[in-house]
Amino acid sequence: MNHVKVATDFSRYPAGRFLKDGPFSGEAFRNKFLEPKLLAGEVILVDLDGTRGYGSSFLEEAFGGLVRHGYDADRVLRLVQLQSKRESLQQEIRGYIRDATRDS
Amino acid sequence: MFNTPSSAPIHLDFSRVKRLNAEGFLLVVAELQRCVSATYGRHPLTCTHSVNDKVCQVFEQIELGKFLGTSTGATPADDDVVHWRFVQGRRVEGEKYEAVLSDFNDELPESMQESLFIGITEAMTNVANHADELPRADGFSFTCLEKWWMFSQYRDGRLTVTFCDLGAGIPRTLPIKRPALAKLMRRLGWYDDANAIRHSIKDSISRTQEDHRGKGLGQIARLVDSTPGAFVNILSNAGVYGRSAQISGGVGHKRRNYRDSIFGTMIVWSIPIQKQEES
Repeated sequence: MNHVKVATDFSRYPAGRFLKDGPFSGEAFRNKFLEPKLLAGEVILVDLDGTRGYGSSFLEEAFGGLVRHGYDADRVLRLVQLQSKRESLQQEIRGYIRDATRDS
Repeated sequence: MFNTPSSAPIHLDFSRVKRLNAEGFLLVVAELQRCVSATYGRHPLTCTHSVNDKVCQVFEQIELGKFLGTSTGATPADDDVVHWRFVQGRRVEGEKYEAVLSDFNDELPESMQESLFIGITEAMTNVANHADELPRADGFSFTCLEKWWMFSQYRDGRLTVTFCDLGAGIPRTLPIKRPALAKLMRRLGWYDDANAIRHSIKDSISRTQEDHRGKGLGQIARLVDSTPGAFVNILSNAGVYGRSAQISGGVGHKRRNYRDSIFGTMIVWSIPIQKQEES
């Protein structure tokens, strides 16, 4: 299974929504780690622990943004597996995926 | 200042300054940097320093002398000075959390460190995402796009983090971001700066699936809710909205409008902590 640990493979300081916000934005994370695996139909395990934290802008764009980019929410929930000591963080992310609507 | 002859020096006189208020001084520093950027450094700065040693210590502690090109000669030593930290940046630079707050890793619970990181980076994200919506309303066209400034200070058992930008301000951007809400507020006669801030936050907290942007303001405001004695003040243009976690439980709110505008947004988080003395 593919595995990405955000704190070490991406940044300990993930923040911001769009690429223009900075190098460690939600869009950057989605582009680099999530979309390539979803395109290939592969499962990816995202280890969320070890960062300074996650703002809603980062999380919504990284995960909810997948749905806006055309990926079915059920498919995202099946292929993107989350790992964290904090169940509430996983629930928050699943909420962003379910709430996101596809861009027309 | 901007009508002065080309390359005429600008003199800043701090000689009568006896005391520095962190919030006010952060705005002064931000405005000074904006002025220098606006004139492309054509006007050299000269400066008369304060005769007050504490004020001079603060100038040295935050390295303002490097910007002004002159040193006060003071050495930061006082307990209420050495805990000042200052950073500035552009767009979202989460790693700068460490520059202002890593000294407090031992005193702040992990959950509060996380909340502060989220609050600060969401504030940076707001600056980056809303910088180009409207020009600043001070009548001067030069903008400090996506720039922000931040102080932290430990004093009298409280950690204070102050973040500011020189943007259009929440009361002016609300009608663009939430036109229906702004229209309703106007119809009810509620639209003033303080109410615009309050309702922007309220709207951000209650927002569910209708809009994927804008939840950050709620995270900025709510980070104090679970720490009794903590409060946040959000000043934007001429209004302020304050939110505090009561010792007796619950959350208190206050709002006020001032006569003058700061032409931007400032967020002040104040959290009670017990700083461990360095040995």
